[in-house]
Amino acid sequence: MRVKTPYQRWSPRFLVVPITLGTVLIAEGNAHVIRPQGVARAVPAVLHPTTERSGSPTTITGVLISLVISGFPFAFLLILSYITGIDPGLARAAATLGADPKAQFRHIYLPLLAPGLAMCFCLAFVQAFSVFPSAILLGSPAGPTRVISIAAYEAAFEVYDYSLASAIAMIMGLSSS
Amino acid sequence: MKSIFDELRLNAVTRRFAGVGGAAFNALSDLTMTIKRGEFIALLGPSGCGKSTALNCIAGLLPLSGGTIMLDETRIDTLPPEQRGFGMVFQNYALFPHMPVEKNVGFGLRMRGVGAAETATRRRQGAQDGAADGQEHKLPGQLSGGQQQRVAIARAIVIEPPLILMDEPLSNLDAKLRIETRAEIRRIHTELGRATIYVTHDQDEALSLADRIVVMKDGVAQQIAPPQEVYAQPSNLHVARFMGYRNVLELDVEREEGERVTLAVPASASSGPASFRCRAGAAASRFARMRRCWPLPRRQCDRRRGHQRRILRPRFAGRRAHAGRYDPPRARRTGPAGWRRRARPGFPSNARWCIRDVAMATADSALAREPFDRTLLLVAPAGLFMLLLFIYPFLYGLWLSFTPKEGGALANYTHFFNTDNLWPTIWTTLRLALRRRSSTSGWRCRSRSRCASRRPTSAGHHDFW
Repeated sequence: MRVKTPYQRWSPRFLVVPITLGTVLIAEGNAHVIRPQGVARAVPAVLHPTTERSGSPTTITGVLISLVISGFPFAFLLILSYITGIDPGLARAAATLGADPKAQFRHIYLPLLAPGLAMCFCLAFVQAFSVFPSAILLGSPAGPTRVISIAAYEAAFEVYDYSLASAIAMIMGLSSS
Repeated sequence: MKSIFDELRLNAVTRRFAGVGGAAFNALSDLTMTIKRGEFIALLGPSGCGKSTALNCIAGLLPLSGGTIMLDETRIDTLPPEQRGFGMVFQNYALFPHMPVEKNVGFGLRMRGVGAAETATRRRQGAQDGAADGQEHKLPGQLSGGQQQRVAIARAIVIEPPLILMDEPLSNLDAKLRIETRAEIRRIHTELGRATIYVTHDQDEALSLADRIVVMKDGVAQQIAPPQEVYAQPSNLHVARFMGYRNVLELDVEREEGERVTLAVPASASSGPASFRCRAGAAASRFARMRRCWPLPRRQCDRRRGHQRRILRPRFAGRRAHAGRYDPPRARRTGPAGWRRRARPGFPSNARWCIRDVAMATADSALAREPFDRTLLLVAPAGLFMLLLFIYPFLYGLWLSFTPKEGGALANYTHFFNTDNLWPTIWTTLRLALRRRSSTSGWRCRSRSRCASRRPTSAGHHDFW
């Protein structure tokens, strides 16, 4: 089940980088690549200029990709800490009792990981629920990616109704909890 | 995998590991032996000698670097552990912590696709054999070490394996329980009639349990023989030193005759054998390895050396205190004069109080006061931090949300929930948080006609609420 690779030491360090950069910088970087005028679209256009492409911006996809990039390391490291906490002797004991790797994962690792996965899901959900920079920079804040944090921001800093912004923040808190 | 075999053959089984700097070292070198059905084999040696490596190689948990393992005519060293069908008891028991005892014991049967009725019967039988009966519904964490060990044995034997592997199963138990469980293991082995390979570093365990002992050192089997032979006729100095206490006597070589030497026996050894004829070591030095002078009864050795056995019986003298200071408990021992503690010079023999009296007498002193709870030093700043940066802003925001510009206290909330574009906003947020796309658009009013005026403008702004 557990295979050692030479990249094992470096992968967590590599994954920590997006966390340290912050969501705004990540969203800005992703925007340069993903959004309609970004590199991801410009390169195919240069390589195949005759091919006609649909110009509809996939803003939801862009925000999702940005959320995955910023949230995956967090979830990965959290689950990694749970996995490393499981005694490898359990999988070895299961193997001697006739469990193949799939059965080891299903009967041993998955039940032991379940609390960690649930906690990781909750934390990632709360983190993503309050998404703001990605929705602003990569999405369309007035359209498909209008999220509740944008509504709170607009109430507070565009309408200057702090009372309404506070109410929205309370609703955010209730929804995510 | 068949449940009965005639013999298990290990042919030059070798396992190498990468050492420091990438240099490989042999944890197990050329282990060759044949194990018959019904035999109890003990792998014995100090820590790091390769006995657990050998066991893991047989179980399939470690691939071989060289050699083969044959079960009758079937080569099994290329098979994964789940296809070898051996039962194994681990040092830390390796019970599945999320399963109750009955599921732990029945796990192997479940993996083999045994029916529910037969599983229940064999599980019950296995629990009785392993003396784990009556604990079926408990989790491993609710069992004592001895009970866990029994469950681990029951789990290993319930699948009726041809070979049972035990990796120091008694090392975590106390001395009394270890002796009891040792007898239990031997009983189970005799009843089942299967072969058992038992790893231990305890000579007593190996001598009392095994039919044959494999003494190991640095990954090499030093001697494979029945317990009596290993004890009485050790093959080399390491085995002799490892198997007993006073197993080596250093004597002067009197005369050499080819490979044989005659040793001088000191006068104090007159009660022992008259002379020792021993084979010399590689280089005929002054010290020779001795054979055929084994075993030396301990009592005889003691008498010959002029020692007289004496039980030193400690007597608890109680705690003593003097002038408010606490002296640690002392044990006065009878026996040689050197063991007797003498009173400190200047210490009045009658100035002894019970420590309780001293504590009462000094109840008002600073030493007797309740110590300051130092956890407050951590909790207080953390509480203040939470109060300033979280609780106060939260309460302020809550109060602010109930003081709208217009209307009553709940005007903000009613306005929020009565607004048409609230639900798409929440839905979009949830969709992004749950990382999945919905078939519906994020921006959709319930009524297109009512929301037409609130559509985003070309500049990206829209009429809020």
